[in-house]
Amino acid sequence: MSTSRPVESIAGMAPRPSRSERLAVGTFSTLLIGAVLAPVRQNWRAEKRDGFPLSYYPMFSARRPARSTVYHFRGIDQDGGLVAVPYTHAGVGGLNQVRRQIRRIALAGRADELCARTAGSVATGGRLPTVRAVQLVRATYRLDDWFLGVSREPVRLTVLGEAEVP
Amino acid sequence: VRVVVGAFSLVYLARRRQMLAQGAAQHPWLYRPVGAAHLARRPLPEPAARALTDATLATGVAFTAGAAHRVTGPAYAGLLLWTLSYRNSWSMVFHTDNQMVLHATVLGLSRSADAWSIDAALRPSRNGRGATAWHYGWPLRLMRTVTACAYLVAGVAKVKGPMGWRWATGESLRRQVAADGLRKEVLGTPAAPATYALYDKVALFRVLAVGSLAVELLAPAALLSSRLSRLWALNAYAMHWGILALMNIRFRYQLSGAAFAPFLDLDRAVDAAARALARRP
Repeated sequence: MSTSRPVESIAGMAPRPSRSERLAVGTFSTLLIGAVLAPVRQNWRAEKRDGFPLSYYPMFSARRPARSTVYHFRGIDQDGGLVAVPYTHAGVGGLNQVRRQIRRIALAGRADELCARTAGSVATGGRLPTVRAVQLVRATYRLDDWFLGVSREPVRLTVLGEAEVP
Repeated sequence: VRVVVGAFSLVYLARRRQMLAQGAAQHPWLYRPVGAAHLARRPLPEPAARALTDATLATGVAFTAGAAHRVTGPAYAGLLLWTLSYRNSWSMVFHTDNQMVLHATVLGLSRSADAWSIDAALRPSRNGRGATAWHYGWPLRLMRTVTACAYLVAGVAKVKGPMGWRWATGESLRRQVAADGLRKEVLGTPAAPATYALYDKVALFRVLAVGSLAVELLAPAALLSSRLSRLWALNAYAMHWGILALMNIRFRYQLSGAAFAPFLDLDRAVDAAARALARRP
């Protein structure tokens, strides 16, 4: 297998690229660079739309309030204690993907359906043997309280659905 | 660079093969196509999604090995774009995948398999015929430019966002880091320990915010010289490791270094290593 740099090792090199090659590469390069830069226009639009792989990279750009609201599951164990239910029981994908799916499902009024599915996954998963029910909640937490060790209790909580673990 | 990008993307896909095929299985109505997935208005049946994922993997092997590159290069670029577009059509766009797809596109459509490839080994006399340094230089320049442009766009989003230039105060970044850590905790995975340790260090977040903006907004300027661009790549690489430490968010393509391979003279490094090995008694 050839391992060295082809520029130096290949006989019969043309002295320079042809005009048509340069035109093709120039056109392709311009189009690709333009396509990567084009999503920047989203920043000036009222209704922004992200894309892939051409993105305006909105992550980290939003204004973040001192409180954060999350849709998430919590398990209730036999003593009435609360435990976190890993997102992997609620959907397929990475954490943020599943988090957004949970929110969309809840907003679509299908919380009970998702609770039943999640409870089924908890039952077969084996990692939460003491959990007897799962709840889907919309919870608002104060970031300072959470990260400065003051409290982990939500300042606002709405239970959207619940299902017994079969 | 083809081998590095190909190997990374191949491992990345292979580890997600099951998840990629299962995307549609749970809630088909969550499907909102992005990118190339606009070709499919509805989710694909699971066997079709699985077949396309497997085809992507198969062409990825050929792309990485440099086998029949004139066919498999563009095919892999197209299939990778499809597969990751489809993956990102389920409520979440993973910005971590963007650079990988763009780099694979450039490599797939250029003469990136004229060396370190099965094609080169099988047909050494025909391989690279008519090629000049220009043919091997433009893909790397384009990959560097595309990378820099993406960081610029990310920087503009921050200063054009609701915070404006006040984003540089670090407060928004601090709360972003905290909100992300909180979500992790309530969704059953631990936040990065650094999120807790550094949460009250407001001045540190100001430094990080200014540094991030500098890396992003100055990215195109770094293309003016190769030394400057390597320095920029090093800073961008460090920024992603910082994000990992602070937020436990893995920009895997960037963290692996593969995203910054076009900024390095890998051929020369490999040649130097080979010469050093050859000199050993």
